[in-house]
Amino acid sequence: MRDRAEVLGPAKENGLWTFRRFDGLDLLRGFQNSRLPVKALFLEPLRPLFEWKQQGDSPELYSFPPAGDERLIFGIRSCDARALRILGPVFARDHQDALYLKNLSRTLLLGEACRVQCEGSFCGEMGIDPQDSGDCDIFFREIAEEYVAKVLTERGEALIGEGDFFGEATEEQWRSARGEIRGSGKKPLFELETVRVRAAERFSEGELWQRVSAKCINCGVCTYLCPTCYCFDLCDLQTPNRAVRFRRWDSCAFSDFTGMAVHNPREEKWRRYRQRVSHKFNFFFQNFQAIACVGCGRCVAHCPVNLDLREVLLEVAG
Amino acid sequence: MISPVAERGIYQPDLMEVTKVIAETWDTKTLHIQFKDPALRKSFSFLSGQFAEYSVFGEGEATFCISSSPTRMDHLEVSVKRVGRVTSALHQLNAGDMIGFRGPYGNHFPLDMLQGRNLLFIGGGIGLAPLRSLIQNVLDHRSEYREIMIIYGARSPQDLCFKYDLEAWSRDPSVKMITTVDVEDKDWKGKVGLVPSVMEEAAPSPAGAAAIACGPPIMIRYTLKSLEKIGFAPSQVWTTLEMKMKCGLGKCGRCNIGPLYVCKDGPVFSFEEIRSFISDEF
Amino acid sequence: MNDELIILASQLFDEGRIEHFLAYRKGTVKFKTTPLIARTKKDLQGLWMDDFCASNLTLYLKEIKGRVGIVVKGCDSRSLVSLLKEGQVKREDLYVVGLPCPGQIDLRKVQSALACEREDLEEINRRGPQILIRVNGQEKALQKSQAFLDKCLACQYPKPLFFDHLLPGEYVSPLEEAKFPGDELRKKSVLGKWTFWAEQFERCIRCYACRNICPACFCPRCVVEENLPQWVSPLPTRGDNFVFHMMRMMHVAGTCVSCGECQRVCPMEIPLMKLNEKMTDDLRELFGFMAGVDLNVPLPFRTFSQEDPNDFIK
Repeated sequence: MRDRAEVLGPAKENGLWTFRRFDGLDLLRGFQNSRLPVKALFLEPLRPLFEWKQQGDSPELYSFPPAGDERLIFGIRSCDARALRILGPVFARDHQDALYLKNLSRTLLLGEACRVQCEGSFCGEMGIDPQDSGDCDIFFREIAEEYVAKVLTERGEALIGEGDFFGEATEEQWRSARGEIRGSGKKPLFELETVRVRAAERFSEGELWQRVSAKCINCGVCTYLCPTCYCFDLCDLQTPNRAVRFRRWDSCAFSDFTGMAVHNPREEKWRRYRQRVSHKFNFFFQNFQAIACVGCGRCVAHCPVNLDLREVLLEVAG
Repeated sequence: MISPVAERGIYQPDLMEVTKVIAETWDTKTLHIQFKDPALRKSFSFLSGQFAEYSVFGEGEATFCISSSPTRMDHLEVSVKRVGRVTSALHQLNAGDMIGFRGPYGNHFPLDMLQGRNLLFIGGGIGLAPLRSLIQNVLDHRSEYREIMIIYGARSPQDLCFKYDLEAWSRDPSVKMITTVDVEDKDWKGKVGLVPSVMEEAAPSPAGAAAIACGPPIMIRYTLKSLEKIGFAPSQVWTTLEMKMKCGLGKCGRCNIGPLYVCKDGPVFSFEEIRSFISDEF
Repeated sequence: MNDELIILASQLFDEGRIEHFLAYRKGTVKFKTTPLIARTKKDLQGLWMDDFCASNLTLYLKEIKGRVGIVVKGCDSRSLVSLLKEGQVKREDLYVVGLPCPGQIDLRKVQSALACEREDLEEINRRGPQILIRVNGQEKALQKSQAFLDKCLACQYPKPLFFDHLLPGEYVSPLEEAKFPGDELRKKSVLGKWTFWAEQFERCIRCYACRNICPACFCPRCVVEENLPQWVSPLPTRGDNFVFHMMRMMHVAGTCVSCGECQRVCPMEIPLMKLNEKMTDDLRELFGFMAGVDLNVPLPFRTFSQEDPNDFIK
């Protein structure tokens, strides 16, 4: 594959797991999940959109078109793969955003089943099976020294057909490859439907939101590490006679996110926190019929003050 | 070389040339703009109430309604109050300068629901800009509407916008025009008083009428109270809401009020809708 | 110790001496506690302190005004001194409770030393000079120098510099002799340093966790949020990230006490403390100044004296 497409896999860089150009054969030892979610490869943290150059009398605009090269990402987990699908309609409805959609269409997703429960994760409660995924082109389960793969799409079939790395396997082998997940097995923390309904019912309870958000420091860690967060800003970078407009990640947690010249509707921190939870568990559902959370646990594991979304959801549902 | 539209991406604006700059007040200007591409001049259309994203390249992009009417398409008009970086940059433009334009976005005033009714337009300050598009639109199809009353107010005579329109509407016998200021100056000969109280005094009949109010949030709040006092139901009143916007396309996640995005489900909302909002954050 | 503190804090609430109490609660992930912000004595119920109280609670004094009771380790108390000097808090508004600290574990160092992931760590206990760790069912031992935060190895102020109450325990530095971080980076050429930081700042995603967790960053509106003019671009380009971090270090110079929180919370694990350490050393060399230790010594950037170095004026 490497000859004709970009192949990305998990690698440890500066102590962090990340997806990058796959170099060698030393696979995935110890890999649970990447620090930054895979969405970073589809909705890039920094993306130039177009450039403006002064040509004589008048400015001319030059696009930075979406990348077209075929790409393959392997080692993606069920949660991150589901998140990519959850974000799809955001960029597909009404005005189609080719930047995201082209990234989706040019990338083959080769997922791998989890054997360890990530710290802080609650994928089960979000309806995601860490050992099965309908969102990838091919999904692998490790069995002894090999892999059993489930092929889900035509693109996947085509890939399998090339070369002779794959032999036939049976349903039985697939099922038996479902193994234990270290760290899991605890009873579910909450019932998602209850959370969704209660989040809507309790929207106006200012006291609840003030209480649960009291220790939040309004940084962007939870939003940037979240596979389903997608808020962005459009921002110009100017040099003499030339400017580039970029799209960059932004966060509803930042104090000036909704700030206008005369008025900021979410001046107070608790309103921003309420927005975050309500958007993911209520408003997004109303617009797209999906909950904008996959329970990957990154926000829980990396929040600087250990503000635990699971605790908040439990409290909201209560 | 501008890439063809299909490849261009939804965030890339079209080039617009500024053809005229009118200083409305000490902090408000109206720009007359025209597409650089003649084909776009012919093909572009919009509806009153819609907005666009205007770029000053290198400074940024800002959201303004289109303040001219779709019935007068030889050029477009945008009215800008200077409050920050992009608006200051827009204020420094002259005829011949180029800006970027992305639009039209958003919903529009429900003309079909206004036809055949008595109309009451209430504007405050720069709020007249979106209203003006609608008023001109209505006046250009005058026979489709019944009685028209326009109440417009600003803080002082120096803050009155679109004075040339106010004059034209005062002279129009088919329109009842009331202009007021909160604080007069020594030359002011017109009405003095806050817009909501002036409106109550004028006492337009609510029977079958429709009211459209645009202005600063505090004026809208009191205007709605006054309208209710004289018998208007929330379903008879429309307004435009303003939230911080960036993409204008419902994608960047910024301008939402609950599940609704002001850039997609608005900016025009009836008060009946507003009453049902889960959120008070707007 | 927890019960003693709950009783004390409840009393303070009852007597009307405080409106808030800042302490710790059990964390929801292993080896962490989480800040507890109590507004009434009922909120004190979950109060819990153990060997993993890494957070510097003084950061909440940015937003919680009025009379506050606060639990501080020795290093945190230096932040209090800095905030007092900066006029951000008043001594009479604070009720300061000292917390003995055995030194905080650096989970990233532990993972690196044991070549494992966070989920593999099952238990961490201290026994004398050793840190005992059970990882994937196996017992391992590490030296403090392999397992503690750099700032703890260099600890010179284990006991709060001022307090109203001390919780029982030993207030001693983790190491008998403070061990300062190596200066391999400082030995590099300018190009070498540039290359190092260029790589680091390529990774910064501008989440501002470092800025928001920092007690010294108390500006109500940060300069990056200003766009007229745009002093620092909000775009996470390498160059703009450079500017942001260098600028932030200069802004907190004199107030930053090297509490290490910025580095601990950075999700991309950028070694921000190297910048702090350089700045701290420069301040000591140039102005003989150490932040957060002496209330009577004025801040270096607020004072001018004839003795200030001026050999750069040619």
